Amino acid sequence: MPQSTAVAAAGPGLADPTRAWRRRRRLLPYCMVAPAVAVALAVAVLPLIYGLWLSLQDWYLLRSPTPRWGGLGNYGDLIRDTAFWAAFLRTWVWTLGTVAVEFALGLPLALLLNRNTWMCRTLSALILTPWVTPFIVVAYGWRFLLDSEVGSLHAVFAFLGIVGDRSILSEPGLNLAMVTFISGWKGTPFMVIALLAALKSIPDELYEAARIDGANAWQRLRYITLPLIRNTAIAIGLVLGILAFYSFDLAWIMTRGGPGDTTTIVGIMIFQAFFTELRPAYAATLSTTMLLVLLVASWFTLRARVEEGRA
Amino acid sequence: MLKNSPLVCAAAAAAMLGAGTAAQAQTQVVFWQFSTRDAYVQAWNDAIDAFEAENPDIDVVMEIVPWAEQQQRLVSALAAGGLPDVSMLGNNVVAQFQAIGALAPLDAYFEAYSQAHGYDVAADIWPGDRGYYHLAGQWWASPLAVETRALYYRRDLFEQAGLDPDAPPRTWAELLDAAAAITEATGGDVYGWAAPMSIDYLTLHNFMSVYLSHGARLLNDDGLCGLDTPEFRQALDAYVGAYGAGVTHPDAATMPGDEFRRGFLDGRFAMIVDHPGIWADLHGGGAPFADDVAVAMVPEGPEGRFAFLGGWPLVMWAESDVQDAAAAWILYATRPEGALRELSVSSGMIPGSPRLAQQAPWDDYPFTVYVEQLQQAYPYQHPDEAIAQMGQLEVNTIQTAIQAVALGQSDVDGAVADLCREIDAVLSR
Repeated sequence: MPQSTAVAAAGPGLADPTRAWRRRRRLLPYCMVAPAVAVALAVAVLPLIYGLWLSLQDWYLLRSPTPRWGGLGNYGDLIRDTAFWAAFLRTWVWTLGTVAVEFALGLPLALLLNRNTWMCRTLSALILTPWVTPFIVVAYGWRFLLDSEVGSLHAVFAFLGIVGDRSILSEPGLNLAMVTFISGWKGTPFMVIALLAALKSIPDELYEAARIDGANAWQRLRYITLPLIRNTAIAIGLVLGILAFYSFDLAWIMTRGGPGDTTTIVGIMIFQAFFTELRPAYAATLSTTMLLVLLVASWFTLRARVEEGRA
Repeated sequence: MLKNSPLVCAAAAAAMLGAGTAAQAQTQVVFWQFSTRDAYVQAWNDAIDAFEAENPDIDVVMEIVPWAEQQQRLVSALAAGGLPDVSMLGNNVVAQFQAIGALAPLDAYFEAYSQAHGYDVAADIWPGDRGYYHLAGQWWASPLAVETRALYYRRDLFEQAGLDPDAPPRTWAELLDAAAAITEATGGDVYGWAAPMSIDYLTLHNFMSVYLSHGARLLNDDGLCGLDTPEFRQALDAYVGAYGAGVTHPDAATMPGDEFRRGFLDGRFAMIVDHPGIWADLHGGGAPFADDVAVAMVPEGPEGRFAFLGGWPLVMWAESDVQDAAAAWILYATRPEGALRELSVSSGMIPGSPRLAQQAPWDDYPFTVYVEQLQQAYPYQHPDEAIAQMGQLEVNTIQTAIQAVALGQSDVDGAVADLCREIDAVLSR
């Protein structure tokens, strides 16, 4: 007997339990995800709220052991802080530069590895090495390569006339470009793997049809490959860009933000504001501002991706 | 056997409960120790064992927090909770934590210890340390190690450059001349002087001797930046001159301090101004030229000789709710009657007790040079009192000025103007 018939036959008195069962069934998924949501709130949202609250306090550890209400004072200080605006600009150079390097190195490598051979499969795994290597190892490895006495890369730069006796890391102007390149180099494997997955999802028939139509390799790349991996590239670029925007460790280990402040990005400023200057509230203000900027930038980036999807 | 099992279990449970009760009766003192050197850590473990044997009701729990991370850990704990009962601390930041009420005074414990041992603890502290640890009329730290810097130089390279190996440079100007002669004589294989110009503590540890000996003062009579003077400009020009003259490493403006030390131990530098620990590294590490290295006093300037005064004490944090036990541990570790001698020997530093420093091994070369040098060792802000902001000033201001001038990012006048602007901004927060 169908269930509905059975319920009808049982009379109106049994209709309520069915509704209760349906209600429970509707609630069940929410109950299932509730623990995960609670954890997410605890580890992500609450710290954000705390950070926002802290940014509205007046808290300089040498003046007061506990925070006091400061309103928007820290944001006023931030707007007037010329060092912040310089670091903010550098952070954008660093972020966009990192993603550009990742894409510039990642796309050719992904195209090269997009073959179903033993060699390509092995190289696809090996190429992850920079990504999985700890920052401290990467930083000291590159410092060694760029050392003015024993660094092989320094010797090449010196031969090309790019640097003189001292390391490129000591050259204001060039050092930010160098550290940005290293940041991009480290993130390249992630881009390669993502682009490789996107490339493998493109049907071979499209390329065959293009070949029949007389398209050369450049035209196939331009009109088939690039449009079809664009959404992936934007999404991965966004993820890697967010990572770069919040970056601290690589620049800190390699240059400590110097010489002077030539490689000081906002991540380093936040660290210094808290641990050196003992200004937790100002550090929170910097962090909150970074978050807001990143939210806006991410929204624009994702919007571009959605529009492409609709198109 | 099985029949007796319940009885055995009950006895075991009772024994465990008893042990648990005994453990609970112990007072636990959490202690943050900043060195990661094996020998020093072992010396601390031995000291804790000996202390606990004498004080069975106290359990000292040592946590190792590397020097490089201690500021972050302490500031985080200060902001969010979780400070230890006792910790090491850099001498330059004692005033900082004292100013915010995070430390507990030790006067009552010093007095009780003095009465119990028949001598005045406060009188057995290096005069320079008094400026760091005796603030607002009270003692906030008990010195563990004190350090100053001396000039290490290679006698063999002096001879190679035609210099008298028995006549080390007496002035900063002579040091620069000797460094230039050695760099030239070795064809650039060896740099004359390991002169740090980077954002590293070693930079200020070297440079403070230069600016104080030129008559410059960090603070003026109004308590603001006192460095905008001809004396300081002259000192900055003289120090950075080593970089311009090519007598130090081309990357001196960005190299970490440890790389200068390694460079001297590897034979890449002929001279370095450094702490006594490097003597043990030289001879323990088997450097082929170790026997050619001699130690001399820090050079002097127009206004005399002023050496860096470093060191680290133990402090008691105000949040501690076991202050009596914490103070007992502090005094055991920092007094000659306790573990100070063994701890100092293992660290290679001079003990915080001048009385102990008169004894072996500190009555032997090269420690004798350091002990003598300590009579002319001063804090950065000499002759003024310690200030709470010193930790911020030494990292972000003076070192930045040195680096900027060395790399040509700024001239001396511009760097000094920026420096004073930054110092005054920090002081006025």
